[in-house]
Amino acid sequence: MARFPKLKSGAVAQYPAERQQVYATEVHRFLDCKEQRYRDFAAGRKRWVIALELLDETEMARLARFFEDQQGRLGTFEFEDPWTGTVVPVCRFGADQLPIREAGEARGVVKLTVEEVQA
Amino acid sequence: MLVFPQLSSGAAAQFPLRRETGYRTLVNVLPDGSEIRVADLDYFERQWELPLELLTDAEWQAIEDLFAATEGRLQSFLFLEPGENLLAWSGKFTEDLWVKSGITVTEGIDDPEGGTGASRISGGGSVAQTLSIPAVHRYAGSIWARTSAAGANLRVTDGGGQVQTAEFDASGAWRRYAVSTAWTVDTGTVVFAVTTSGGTVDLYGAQLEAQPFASRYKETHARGGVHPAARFMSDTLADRATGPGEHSGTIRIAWTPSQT
Repeated sequence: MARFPKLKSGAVAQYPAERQQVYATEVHRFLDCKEQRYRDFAAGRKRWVIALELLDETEMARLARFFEDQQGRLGTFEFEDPWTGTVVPVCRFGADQLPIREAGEARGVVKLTVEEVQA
Repeated sequence: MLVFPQLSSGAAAQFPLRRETGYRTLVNVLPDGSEIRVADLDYFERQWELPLELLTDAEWQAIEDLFAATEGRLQSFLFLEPGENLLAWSGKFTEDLWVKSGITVTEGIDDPEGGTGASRISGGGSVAQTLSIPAVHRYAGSIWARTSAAGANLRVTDGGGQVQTAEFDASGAWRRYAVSTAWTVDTGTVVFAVTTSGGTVDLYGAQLEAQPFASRYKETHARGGVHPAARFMSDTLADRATGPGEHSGTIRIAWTPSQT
């Protein structure tokens, strides 16, 4: 399976980075204020918001090609969690759009979301 | 053929610029969290937002002429993506798009960036990719090469008599070679080729850009930066004049191959 590309530095993300842990809990509240709760997902999911700056043209092109190969949210890939170094085996992009802003030469800015999905 | 013009500098855009790639995927999340994802096969879009500042009368007029010819969003034009590699499969010379003559290609060779993305061509002949783009635009062709044999070169031509070449040195070390074009006769064709008179040549990072000088290597896969039926995204073209011969405006362009 394809793996999310690293920057030239060998890192996947830059500061500030954001990692979210996501659960799906159904909560039903009754007239007597009692609640019934149950989980939708079998386990929690992770989501990463990756904001990259000062990318050079090679790094931007590598990210863009990877996004095209995955066709946005369609394809799945391995992603190395920048917090732990653990490879999460099945992830996908969180959006079908990848905007890249170039403020100057080697000054590319990209913000994207990666989401863990159930294998 | 209608073509988005280059500025007098030979570039088609200024910094900052914005590009966006978009798909349309239906994601159906089931109660247990598993997903069914379906691609809209007919939809793929690229968009560009190009803020242009302090253009001369002639530069702005060229854009305005194109806008008038396309009647805003109605007609399409050829757009050579600024700063993008115009070649497709820039690192995969085994693809059919690259026309091989008298040579064989071996992949998986160590490349100058520490990977194994280079290719080795053996024999006397050429490997070439032909693009249907205006020869009178400014282009920069570049490629990394390593050889110990004399007589190999990078060759960018208009398919006729206009030729720019860079001879590879036979030092056996990786070096990036580049050529720049400023042709006056438009054949509607540009050919990017590497020719060799024998021996082996290692190649990496073939790149052709619609600008006078080469920038960092940008790998491409099935599609390069040539967008043959792009459209303006608005029916209005606003010219903000800040002084005599100083025009500014923001151009938005989209390319949706399935809709052209």
